[in-house]
Amino acid sequence: MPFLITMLEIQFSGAMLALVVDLGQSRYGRYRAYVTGSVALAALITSLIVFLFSWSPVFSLPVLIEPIQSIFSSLYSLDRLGLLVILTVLVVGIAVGAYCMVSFSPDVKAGPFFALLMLLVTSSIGVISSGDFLTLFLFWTGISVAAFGLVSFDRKDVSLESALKYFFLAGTGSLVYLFGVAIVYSLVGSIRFSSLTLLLQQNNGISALFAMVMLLVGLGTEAAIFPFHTWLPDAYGSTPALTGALNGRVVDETILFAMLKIVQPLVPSGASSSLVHSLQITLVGLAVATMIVGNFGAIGQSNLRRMLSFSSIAQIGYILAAIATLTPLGFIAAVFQIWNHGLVKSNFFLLTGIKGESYEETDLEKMKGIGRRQRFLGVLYTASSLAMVGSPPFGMFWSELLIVESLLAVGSALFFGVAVIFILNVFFSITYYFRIINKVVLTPEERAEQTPKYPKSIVVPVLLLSLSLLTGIIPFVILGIIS
Amino acid sequence: MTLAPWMIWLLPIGASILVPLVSLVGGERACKWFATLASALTLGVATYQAFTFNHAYVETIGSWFFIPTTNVSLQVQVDSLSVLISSFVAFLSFVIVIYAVENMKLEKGQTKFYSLVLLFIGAMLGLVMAGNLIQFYFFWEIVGICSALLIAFWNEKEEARKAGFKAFVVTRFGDIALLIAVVLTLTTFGTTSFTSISSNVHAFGVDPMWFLIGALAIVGAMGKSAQVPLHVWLPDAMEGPTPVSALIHAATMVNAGVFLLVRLSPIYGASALLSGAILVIGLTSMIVGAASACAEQDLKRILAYSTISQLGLMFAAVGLGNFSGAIYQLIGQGIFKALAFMAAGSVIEAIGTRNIENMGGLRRAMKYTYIAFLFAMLSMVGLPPLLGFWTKDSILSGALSTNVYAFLTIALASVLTSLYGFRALFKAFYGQKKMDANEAQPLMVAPMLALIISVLTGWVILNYQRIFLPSLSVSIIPFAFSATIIALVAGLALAYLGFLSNPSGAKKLVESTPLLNYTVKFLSEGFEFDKAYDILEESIVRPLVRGVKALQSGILGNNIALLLSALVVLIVLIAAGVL
Repeated sequence: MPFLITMLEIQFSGAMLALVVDLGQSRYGRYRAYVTGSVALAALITSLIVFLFSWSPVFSLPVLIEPIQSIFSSLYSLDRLGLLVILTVLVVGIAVGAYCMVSFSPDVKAGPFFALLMLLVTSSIGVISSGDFLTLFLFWTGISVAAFGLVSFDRKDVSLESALKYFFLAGTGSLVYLFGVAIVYSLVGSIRFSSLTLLLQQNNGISALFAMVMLLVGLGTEAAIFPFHTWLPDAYGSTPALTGALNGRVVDETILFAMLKIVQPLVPSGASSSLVHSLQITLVGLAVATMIVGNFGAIGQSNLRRMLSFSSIAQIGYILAAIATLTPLGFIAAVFQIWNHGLVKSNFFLLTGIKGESYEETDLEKMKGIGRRQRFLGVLYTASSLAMVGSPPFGMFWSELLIVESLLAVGSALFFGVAVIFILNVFFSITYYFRIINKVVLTPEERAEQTPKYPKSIVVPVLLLSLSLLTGIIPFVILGIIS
Repeated sequence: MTLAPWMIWLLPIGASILVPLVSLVGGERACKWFATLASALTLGVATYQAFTFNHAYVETIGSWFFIPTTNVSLQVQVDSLSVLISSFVAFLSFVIVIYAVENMKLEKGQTKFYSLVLLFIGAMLGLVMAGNLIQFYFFWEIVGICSALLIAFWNEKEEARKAGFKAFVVTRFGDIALLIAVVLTLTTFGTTSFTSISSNVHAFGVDPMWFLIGALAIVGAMGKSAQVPLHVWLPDAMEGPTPVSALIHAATMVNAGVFLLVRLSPIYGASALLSGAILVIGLTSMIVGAASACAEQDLKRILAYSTISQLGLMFAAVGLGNFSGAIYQLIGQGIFKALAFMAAGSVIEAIGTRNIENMGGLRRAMKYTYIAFLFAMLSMVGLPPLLGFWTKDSILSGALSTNVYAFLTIALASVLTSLYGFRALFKAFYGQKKMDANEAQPLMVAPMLALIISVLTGWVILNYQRIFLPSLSVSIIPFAFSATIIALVAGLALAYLGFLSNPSGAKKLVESTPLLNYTVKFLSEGFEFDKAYDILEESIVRPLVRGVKALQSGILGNNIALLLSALVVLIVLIAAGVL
């Protein structure tokens, strides 16, 4: 997979270059964000081009598990599912980068910001393509550092507090994860993901399950699975829109994919069925609780960003439910949902930034009627809300359909029940998404303000939403990649 | 590849996308003419399709959604049912769009209105032409979204916003069941095409899985077709503009549930339990809808309750195995109810109120509107030889020979139908004149005339058509005929006595009799279903929301404590062998 290393190197260089270029900030004046942003975007787009050009040979392989030794002496492995998640990360990264480039004011420290963005994207791709527990952990640490920097970037008290909460909880999670890795290593003497199969086949019983649970709880903390989710609404709900758009989508879903990678070898392994069943029950329990807490948490919110953050928790529950099937269909459904959710939720967070960057400005009561005054913005809010509840013709319609199919295809009463709970949760999500439409688009403003011009940055959410629409109208294109 | 079955739904969808561009170029006024042109072209395609139709076929243009376990094709099913219903939808859409040109001319937001109306028409036709359940469900959802957004069209009114939300939520609840049915069909049988479903059921009968799928599809149909207890959204949906009420909530979308049941008729035809359930739902809705209409004061809500009742009649027909009767009633009801809504819209526009207590004596000032409403009501109550008589008679005659209880219930509902129909007519157009009013503009009268002609002659067309469904029987079974006439006269007499000859006496009687007073109140509250839903929300949703809020304390120490205690619980569960 030389293309993967090339991508990582390009992005790492891009991050460094953005910092170096930013040293000459005084010369650029008000174009500071454009100059440093261009460097970062150039690196990301080049990375995307490398990725797309490498597509054909990659796709010719049925399932690509080709370990390589990189400059960091780490192990990578990547399959078709991972390709779509990398594409999601790159698209979201480029979208957020472009949004920031045109919307940052000159006093924003653009260089460090873009360097952190690049670090986040690079680390995420590293996690997605990692082939062993340690590589995953190293890149995960990169994600944590970048996420901490991005959450606290505006240095406001509330952001710093959120960043600290994130750091402490994610840190605790990573300790639990490392404990799980240590158990795996002590039992089978290897830290490759495939060693888990060996572990389960050796019938280590409680030790194996214990190790699995440690690994999943560790990662679950970062992915904001219930009851380890409490940091997420604070971290992304009260920080600038782009943090929610970038971190919320990239971090959670990358880590969810890491969980998928860990359980993936169990599918054809012939591992003890009771262990697999125990694991399924654990995952199902966490998934159901996560979606319920996410949706009912969102119903109780009056701030749009916090509402979207809780909604992200619910989405994590949906994806986890698909992973819990431990079937190829479930994995495809999970990854397709990651793609669709990534597009729409990033778009939604960026839309909240069009109105204003502060937390207070995204209180729904203060957003009354902005979609009436700015009709196009109203259309975007309506379409995004409908996309989020899985309405056609948006892509999430298909991925949610696929999740239901994967759950019902298991053919057990347990998963039938999960399917019903999942659909009921999507149903309950309508209540708060329709509230967004009601407040932002339909309700008249109490005091009419002058209609502001649309900022250039609005192009980015439009493009993301268009991609979601295209996925919904021609889903076979994206599904062709992962199936 | 034949183009017509694709063009018929792609054309209005494409036009809906173009409406904003037309608005940019030619202003909002251009939108209405563009929409009229698009709906006329759609009607042209539908007419061409109907006249050239000579055999049923399914056409596929490739995989729409493909993974190794699932292959969903993009396909259209051209058969007598889809051709007949698509022609009906295209005709009514065209007539109603013309009506809207005049009715909506002073409204703001015409770009949004016509764009959504055309998208709705396209999705409705896409649903009718769909060759498989997934494609059907795709359009089914779009139709629901358009409906909700159009109900909330006058969004400066809080009632309109709430009504839009309610319609979306309640119909979506039915959609949950339908979605499970669709996916169960896919996972169990590997296909969702209607032809495969039909052949599978014919070959193997209704096994438990088909039974479950059929039962879930009924719940889906109940939501869209506003059947008890999922009917509560339809009366509130009358907050939308009148053309929307006529097009979506009388003539087309609400029929989608009945259409689904007829599409899945192989399942219901082979299962007595499922058809029995549909019959009970239909009969209950007939009575609840008709009784609520008798006590309602809002003219459009009366028509909405009437629609619930008429849809109940269609459900009852499906439950009795009379699928062609259900389709005839669907067409008949669509025409006379659209006519009634148009006439009601003219009245409301002329006098500015929907309350029938504030209306009266309009028949001289609004002659054409009066004639339109009169024909709509006469057709609805089943006066021979109007269209409504024949379509209702085809169900009533069938019920007489198969299920006497169903026959009696339909007859009872017919009395109530006659009562509320004539009550609305007398209150609005007879009695003392209460307000000055002017007749509607010619562009609103013309569509009404077209529908009056349809009400008068529609039965002839349905009787002599041979290719689509068995001909509508115009032979009369004396007993069923007598029942229709007795019900009509009984309702007319009650309405005359209660609301025309001595309205104050009837009012006093109701006020002085506690039981009657309570009954009227109970009926005017729509059997208090809304209250029951509110209680359900308070007892389920609110406690959960409070619980989650309590978890989110925002204190770091608490968060870490929660994390660690969850970990401890998991370890204990593993150690205890629970996991």
